[in-house]
Amino acid sequence: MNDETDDRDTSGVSDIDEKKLHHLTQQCFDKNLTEMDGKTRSVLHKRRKEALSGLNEPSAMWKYSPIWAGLASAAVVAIVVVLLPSHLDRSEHDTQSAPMQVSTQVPEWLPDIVEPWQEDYEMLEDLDMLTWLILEEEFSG
Amino acid sequence: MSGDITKKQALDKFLASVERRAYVKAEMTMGNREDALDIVQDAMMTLVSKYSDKSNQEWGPLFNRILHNKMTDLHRKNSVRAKVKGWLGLQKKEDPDDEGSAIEIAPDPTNPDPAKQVSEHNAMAQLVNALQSLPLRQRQAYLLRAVDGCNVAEAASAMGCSEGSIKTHYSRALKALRLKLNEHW
Repeated sequence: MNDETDDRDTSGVSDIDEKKLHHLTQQCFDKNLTEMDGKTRSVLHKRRKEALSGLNEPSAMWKYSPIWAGLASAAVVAIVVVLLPSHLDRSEHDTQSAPMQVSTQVPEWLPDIVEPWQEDYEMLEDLDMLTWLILEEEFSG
Repeated sequence: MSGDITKKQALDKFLASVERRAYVKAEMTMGNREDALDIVQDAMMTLVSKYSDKSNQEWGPLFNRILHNKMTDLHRKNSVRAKVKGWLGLQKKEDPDDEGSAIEIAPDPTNPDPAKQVSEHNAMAQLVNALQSLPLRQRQAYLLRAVDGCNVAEAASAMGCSEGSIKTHYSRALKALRLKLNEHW
């Protein structure tokens, strides 16, 4: 694997010394590898199984993804900004546009005031309770 | 489902084939058994969770790269921790009498040449010490070249740096090791 041409070093260490060092390092590595104790082997085995057990679990990316957080935030914003005001608008609109329920019956407590209009009481349809109150106030005063 | 099982088996086989070498490399680089075990486990978990969908041929270089990144990360963490402990005066002093258990230091009766064994053992111990005294990047570059037999481009890919950096780290490591192992030459 060593490419002889691409790594001429400038360390001043001869090729022989380099090979000697490599040999010693390789020896040391092999010694550590072959003399690995049973406890370390079993710990490695156990940890490999632990690592592999995570393969079938949903990835943490899906559990804690910023995408999910973003989607949840967007949903909340959509509810607050778009759906809620439109719902309120609709409620307000419904209130405003609902046909006013004005009784065509002249209230008993206002017989004298309304009496002159009784023949033409369709006009009363456009009057709401406030108007009635104002009228009552004005005429009673 | 059967695809998952096959993939799991393939990953298991791959990891089983590399875990011991990875551990020894990590131990030689970090100089600590527990750190080496943690690094190998982290590297395995990262490979499984993020790169299991890659092809089997890609796992080798990816695992090597992850392993080296984990070593660098842990080395940085340990450096910061050591500095903080140093400032707070919590650093443990090494016990000069702690030379390992009697079993660990007992000579191997199967070795036919005790003198040679002692010489080799000393040279290796000195090499390990010399390796530990090198900066992390030099250690990594040197071990990639000497143990894995990587060329400059492969080592650069594993360490995530330029080929020029690898040449510099390797050359400095070589020079330092040669000087430190002078008496065993």
